[in-house]
Amino acid sequence: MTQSSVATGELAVSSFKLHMRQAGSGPPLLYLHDELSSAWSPFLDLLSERFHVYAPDLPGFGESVRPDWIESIDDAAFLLADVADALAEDGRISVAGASLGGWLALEMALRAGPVVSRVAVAGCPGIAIANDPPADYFILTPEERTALFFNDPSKAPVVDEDHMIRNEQMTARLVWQPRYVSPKLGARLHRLRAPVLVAWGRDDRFLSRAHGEVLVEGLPNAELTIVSGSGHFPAIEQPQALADSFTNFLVES
Amino acid sequence: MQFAYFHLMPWPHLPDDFETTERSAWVTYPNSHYDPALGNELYHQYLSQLLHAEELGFDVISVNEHHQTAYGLMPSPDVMASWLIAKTSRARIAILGNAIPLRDHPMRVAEEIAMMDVISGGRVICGFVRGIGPEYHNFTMNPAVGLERFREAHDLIIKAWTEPGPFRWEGHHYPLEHVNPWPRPLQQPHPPIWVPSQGSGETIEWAAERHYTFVVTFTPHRNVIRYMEQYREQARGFGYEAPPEQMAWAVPIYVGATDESALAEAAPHAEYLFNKLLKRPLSVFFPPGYLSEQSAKGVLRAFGSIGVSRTTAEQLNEEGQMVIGSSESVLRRLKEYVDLSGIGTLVVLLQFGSMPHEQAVANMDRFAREVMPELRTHVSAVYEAEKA
Repeated sequence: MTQSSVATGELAVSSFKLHMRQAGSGPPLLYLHDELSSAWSPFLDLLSERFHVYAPDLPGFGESVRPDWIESIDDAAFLLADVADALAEDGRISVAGASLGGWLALEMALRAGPVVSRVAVAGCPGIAIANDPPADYFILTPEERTALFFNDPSKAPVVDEDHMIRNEQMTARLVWQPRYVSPKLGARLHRLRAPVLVAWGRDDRFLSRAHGEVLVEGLPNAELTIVSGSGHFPAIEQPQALADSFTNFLVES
Repeated sequence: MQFAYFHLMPWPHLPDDFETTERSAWVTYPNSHYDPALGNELYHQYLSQLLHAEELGFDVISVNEHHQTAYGLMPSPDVMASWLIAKTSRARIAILGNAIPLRDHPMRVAEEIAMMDVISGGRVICGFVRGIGPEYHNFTMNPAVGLERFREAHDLIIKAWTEPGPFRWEGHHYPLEHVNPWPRPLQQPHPPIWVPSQGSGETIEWAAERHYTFVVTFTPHRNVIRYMEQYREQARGFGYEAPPEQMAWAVPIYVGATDESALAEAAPHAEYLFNKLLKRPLSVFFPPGYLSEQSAKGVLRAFGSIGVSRTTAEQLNEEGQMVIGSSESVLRRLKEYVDLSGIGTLVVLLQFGSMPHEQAVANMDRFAREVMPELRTHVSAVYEAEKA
């Protein structure tokens, strides 16, 4: 699978459209991108070897507009539930996501119900742990952020200026306060019946592994896997290892 | 011309090596460096300067609002203003503040300003600001909704002052069942509103539409000229000619015996202000969403990611970001800037950075005696030309 076979278009959901890329064939997999970039990536090439991967630009990110009513994680999760309904085949779809996208995958799955068959997330924020907050990267310089997020700074994605500004602004809108947390998420996790894989970069300096451990404890059917040689974004730093984990988990039936 | 004496109340005790050892005077500079005993002395010196400004004939004395920073020690401008109201009788008091999106409730601002207006016999000038980027970090207030909150808080306060209560407010950020503030302001329909800004086009339009006094802060004079042209143009678009007093420039000024001695005396304090107190990475000053996408791009192109670079008093003086010189030079240059920009309100900062009390008072005296009287009657060439 190469990038030349990635199709770009629009997905119409409820009353508006999301910009979306898709590739591959197989069972449907909705992929929710991270804060930094909504671009197609080598990681998605690997996933599309086994799945029909749908990768929309989240509302307010990349090329997708933000409808006025999308002001919070909760709003975005409801919108993504419509996306899952629209893309499901035979009433079923798997969902995967990285960082902010992973959090949205869980929040969406909680609201969407049985249409979501399996969930795989990496470096997923959202759970509040006393005295163990995510690092405040908003206050850091770009160089300091790269050092926080990546073991290998050369892996940091290059994002064009327009998208960088939009992605950062929309992220702030969703996570600024309360910071990277859904206060109610812990009390709701037990309702997520779909199996969940939670992957974590071994060297995540943004969000401690305890956040993954608490998620796995609170979910009825979840497991944690550690990706070595990676900071907060294993899909970027270790695409092959993470794609193998996700694929193995998501194809199980 | 009318004159406002403006104060930032900076902390003057940052160490000499601050620029190399500390990230910024904003957000994270540890407050263990604040010494309350020195702070007591400092407040009384700064407040006495504001009282002295009334004695010297300034029309307005003005306080400021910034939070959790060595840059300025007035987190509550209303506390400062109410102290000044009790100690003064003639000067109007401009509150520049209030950062309404950062307040827990805009009705508290509506109430406090109305109280001060009534107590002072109608001497209050009410500023409205959004609060600057670092404050969105300190308050963890979402910068992406700061402007929305500002606009709604403003609309609510103005309605609370001008329409009979009780009424219901169907707001997005501040939905209210019963708006009915006691007291109401003495000045009718409400105290004059001043809007400090660094010159964003959106703010210029918004202020011009409402006949609010537009105060450009910390801006080289050539940009001041441009912003004031835009303001007059916008005002014409809204069907009126902006009176000169409605256009204000806030500028640090130092008057010395000669150009050379003035520069030598002002330099350490000017550079303390711009290099120490204003040092910050861009991420601190412009958190995501604080600026529109378009403005954010402009800032990124102008500064890169490093923030503002070091400057010198000489450079600041040449750019007209400050006016430093003998009284003759200062008067000549201010007349020239007034002629070019059309401003009718000068908001002067005569203590800045680490400038000690005695030096600040001497600067105030020289400005008030040697510059202000002749400038007061000066009419900008902009209007002379329009009359002709």
